[in-house]
This record gives sequence, structure tokens and C-alpha cells, in this order.
Amino acid sequence: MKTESYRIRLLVVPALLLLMATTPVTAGAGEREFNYPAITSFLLFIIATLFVTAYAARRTRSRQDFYVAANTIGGLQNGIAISGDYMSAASFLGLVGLLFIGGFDTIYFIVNLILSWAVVLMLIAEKLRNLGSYTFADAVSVRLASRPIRVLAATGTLAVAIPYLLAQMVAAGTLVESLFGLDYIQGVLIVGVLMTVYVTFGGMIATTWVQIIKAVLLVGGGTILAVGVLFTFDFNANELAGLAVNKHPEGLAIMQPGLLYPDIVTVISLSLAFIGGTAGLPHVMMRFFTVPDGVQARRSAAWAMGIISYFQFVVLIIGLGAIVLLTDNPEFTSGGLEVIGGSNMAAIHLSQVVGGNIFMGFICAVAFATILAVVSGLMLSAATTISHDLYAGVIRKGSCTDAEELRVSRLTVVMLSIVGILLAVLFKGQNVAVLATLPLVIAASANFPVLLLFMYWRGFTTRGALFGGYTGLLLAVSLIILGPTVWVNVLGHEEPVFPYAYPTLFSMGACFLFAWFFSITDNSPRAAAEADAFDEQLRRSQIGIR
Amino acid sequence: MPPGRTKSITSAAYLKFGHTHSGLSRRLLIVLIALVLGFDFLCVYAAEFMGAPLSEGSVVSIGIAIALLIILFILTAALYYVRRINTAYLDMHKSPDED
Repeated sequence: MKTESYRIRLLVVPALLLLMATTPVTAGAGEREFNYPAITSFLLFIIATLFVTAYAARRTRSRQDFYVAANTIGGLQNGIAISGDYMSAASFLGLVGLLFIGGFDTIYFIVNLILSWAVVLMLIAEKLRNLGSYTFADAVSVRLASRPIRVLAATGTLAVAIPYLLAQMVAAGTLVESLFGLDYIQGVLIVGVLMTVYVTFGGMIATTWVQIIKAVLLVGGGTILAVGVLFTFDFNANELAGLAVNKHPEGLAIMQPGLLYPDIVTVISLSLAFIGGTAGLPHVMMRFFTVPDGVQARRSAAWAMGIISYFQFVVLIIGLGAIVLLTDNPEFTSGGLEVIGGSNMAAIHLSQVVGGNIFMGFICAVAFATILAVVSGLMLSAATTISHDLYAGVIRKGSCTDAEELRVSRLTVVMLSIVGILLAVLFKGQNVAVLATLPLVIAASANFPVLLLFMYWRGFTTRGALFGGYTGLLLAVSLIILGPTVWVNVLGHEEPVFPYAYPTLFSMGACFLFAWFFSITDNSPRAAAEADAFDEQLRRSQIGIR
Repeated sequence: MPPGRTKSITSAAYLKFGHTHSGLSRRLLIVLIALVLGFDFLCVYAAEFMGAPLSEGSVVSIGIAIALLIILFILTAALYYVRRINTAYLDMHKSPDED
């Protein structure tokens, strides 16, 4: 009890820090204007989430509470939280911006994204829930050798979570600069401190609620924006589309494929990145451990799919609206498609056109809240794999107590946050678009094949998992570095060594191939025992371990 | 495994449930993935057809209409799947040992 009230009081410290961080620094602000509606809406969000965190902190006692909210989250609740976890700023600001530039090819993202949730729903959700407890390594080590698999899974998890986290923090800093009129560093600090507070104090319960609040705000704000766009055109979607074609410099080409991705390898790789990537994202997988059983796991996947699909349509309307209302408007675009402040700002500018400054302030705050919810989920999954898989499972070989593991987990959150803040400051002004491509491709090329083969193939062995998983991971990272996104855009070379922006076709393919080959050629006694254990695993995957 | 509600259900019932379940999800997913990859190929190799307007004077292209149909199909399939499997699962728990 004593430690608890102490912990709650500790919450005051970050709150004060934040207050200081958001206090306008007149000296550094220069010519930027403070966006008071945005700051006010955002402060309201912070107050609400800190309140939830204080509530959650009182309910977070055991390791089970901290990692997975003691499996007490319901299907609908978890579905909303998953959608809040999954819909990053990229899927709102980025997709609207992409639609603004690329037109039709944005459809690939939308179709594949929705398909990816069918994969999660039908192949992964229930089995993952029934086989694992906290991380997907828990599931895979039901049958395969625990320690090497945990190292592989932790590598896969961190390889996804750290770049993703960094991309989000850099985005937060940039966003704060242009939207709130604060400093880049202030933005990074706000995100870093808040995420640490949510996760260390409130664990999964607080993270879940932050994600739920954010999902409601994002879907609600997006809907208002879309309705505002439709209202401007008397709810005539045909007219909206017609005007978009007339206004866009590419004309009718925005209704035709090929503006962004004209070759089949990139298009198929993009599909594969989504098909496997969503199911292989560690923070998405972790959310399925928070529900009590397989029925609720399926329900949450279905709800998430419904909400995310609905939001894609909202984005579609917002994107068309942006094309019509922003092109040729010298206040927001400078000649054709050059959106002032970058294409990510298209949705923000549009909110100003449709709803004035106060509404724009609200949308800015929503965009920022979006980042917070995503980084919290990522942070929790990264900390869990370090404390549960690496510390408890590999270093202590399962001999440490729950309390020790919990302490390590909280400490990890604090340390990772500090590293994240420092890296984000270091990466200021760098092109971080690549950091947003990496996670999905790595998740699809390393985590997903291992999980899928483990769940559905009797002959899959530890040796196959290790060769396949590490090959997929290394290939995904190196091909992205040699591809146009890093080799040309970041490192400034003329021609990419590897021509395709998405290497999933090769990296995922190699992972499956190696996993298959090194499994069928594995004649060790362990491999035989692993095959024998498949029936028991199949039974467990249907009824759950408990 | 500790005794509980799960223990009263025959393994035959589970086997049956698991069989229908994995069969259905695999069949559905193969169709869905084939549809989307087919869409990918059409977009690249039949770009002109996919970019053609849906009807005279319409700006919406055939490709966009097809994409919307595929999305609707995926969502319907998902809804059907969840309903079907969750009902089967809950039914099995309601009347164990009966067949």
C-alpha cells in the first residue's frame, strides 16, 4: 500500500516536467506561432490519460497485470485498442499525403491492409492467444527449443520496435515544431516522458486505455473531417472525384494504376509486406494475449479489422478533399503538388480549410495523441521481450521471481526511453521514411514465417526456425539499405544496388525457403521430438493452455 | 491440465471443431489472397483496362470499382468466419459429450 501511494505521487513529477516542457520558450520559438487550440486539446488528452494511468497503476500488481492486463480485456475493448495501436500517424497523415501525390496506387495500401487483418483473424489470433502468455516467443517455445527461439524472437521484436519507435519520435518532434509552435526537443521529450509514465506505472492496462482514447479521437476526428469535406460538395462523392481529377496536375492518371509503383515485383512485395507484416508486428501480437480466450481473440481481430477498414474510407475521402481544396491554393501549396510543410501536412491543412483554426488545433492534437498511443504499445512490447524473453528466459534460465522480472521490465522502459530520446535528438532532420518501411518488411520476413510454420507445419524444427528467421531478418535489413529508400534517398548515391523499394518477395521467400530446407534436413533427435510434440500443440492451440 | 469446463469436452468434438475451423480459414484465405494478388497483376499488366472509366463520363475507374468490391468481399468473408467459428465453438461448450 505504501509503495502504491508513493508510486501515484511519483506521477506528479512527470506531470510537472511536462508542464515545463510545454511552456512556450519565447527565446527559441522564433517566428513560429503558438497554436493554442492544439495545445489546449492536447493538454486535455494528457490529463485524461494521466488520470487513466493513475487508475491503472493501482491495478497493476503482478507480472500478469503489467504485461497483459491479467487477460481481462474484452473483445470489443481489445479490438478498439488494437486499431489504436495499429493506426499510426503514417496511416493517417502519410496515407492522405500519398493519395494526394500518387492517386490510384494508394489503393494497394488500403486493399492489402484490410487483407492483412483477415490473415491475422483467420490464421493467427486464436492460436496465438491459446499458445502464448506474454510474447510470441512463449508460443513458439511450446514446441521448439526455448532459449535460441527466445533470442531469435527478441531480435525480431527489437528489430521491428526500435526503428518504428525512433521513426515515431522523430515524427513527434517534427510535428510539434510545425503544429504547436514548440521546439523539436520539447516534442521528443513530451513523447518520451509520457510514454515512460504510461508504461512503467500503468503497464498494459494504461496502454490499452491510451490506445482506446486515441482510437476514438482519431476515428471521430477523421469522420468529422470527412463529413466536412463531403458537406462542402453537398455530399456528392461523384462530384468530389470529378473535381479531384480536374484539379490534380496528373489529371485522369490519378484514377489509373502506375503513378507510384509501376513494376510487378514492388507491387507483389508490398502485398506480401502487409499480408505477413501485420501479423508479425510484436505490439499487435501482444495485444492478443490480453483477452481471456480464443473467442474473444477472434472478436477483437474482427472489431479491429472493421474499425481500421472504416478509417481507410475516411482517409480516401479526406485525400480526395485534399486534392480538390488544396491544389492551386497558394496558402497551402506552392505550385502543383508541393504541399507547404511536406505532403504529411495535407490532412492538417485540409482541416483548417474545412473547420477553421480551432478544428485544425483539434486535428493536430489527435495526430500527436496518435503517436503517443503507438509508441506506448511498441515500448511495452520491446520491454516485455527484453525482461521476459532475454532476462528471465535466457539469462536467468527461468529462475527469477515475478517481482524481479517486473522490476527489470520497468527499468527497461526507462532506459529504452532515454535511448529513444537521445537517438531522436541525434536523428533530427534526417529522412526517417525508411524507418517506417523497415518494421513491416522485417515483421513479414522474420517473425511471420516462423510463427506461421510453427503453428501449421509438423516438420518445422528449431534449426529451421533459426536459419529461416535470421536469414529473413538480415536480408530484409540489407536489401532495404541497398534499395532506393536508403542507398539513394539517404546516402545520396545515384543508382540503388537493389532496385526495389520493398524487398519482401525476396526476404520473406528466403526465410520460408531456408526454414523449410533446414527443417527437412534436420535429423537430430530433438527434431524428432519436436515433430512428436505437434499433436499436443495442436490440441492446446484449440483449447488454450489453462 | 487442471480440471475445468474444457475437460468435459470429448477430444472427438475438438478434433471435429478444429478440422472444420482450419479447413474453413485456409480455404477462405487462399481465395482472398488470390484475389488481391490477381488485382496486383491486373494493375501492372492491364493498367489501361484498370484505368479505364467505369462508364461514359464517369471519372471512377474500373480498377477502383474492383478494389472496392474486393474490400467488401474480404470484410464479408471475415464477418462470416467470425460468426461461424465463434458460434460453433460456443455451441460445442454448451453441449459437450453429446455426439
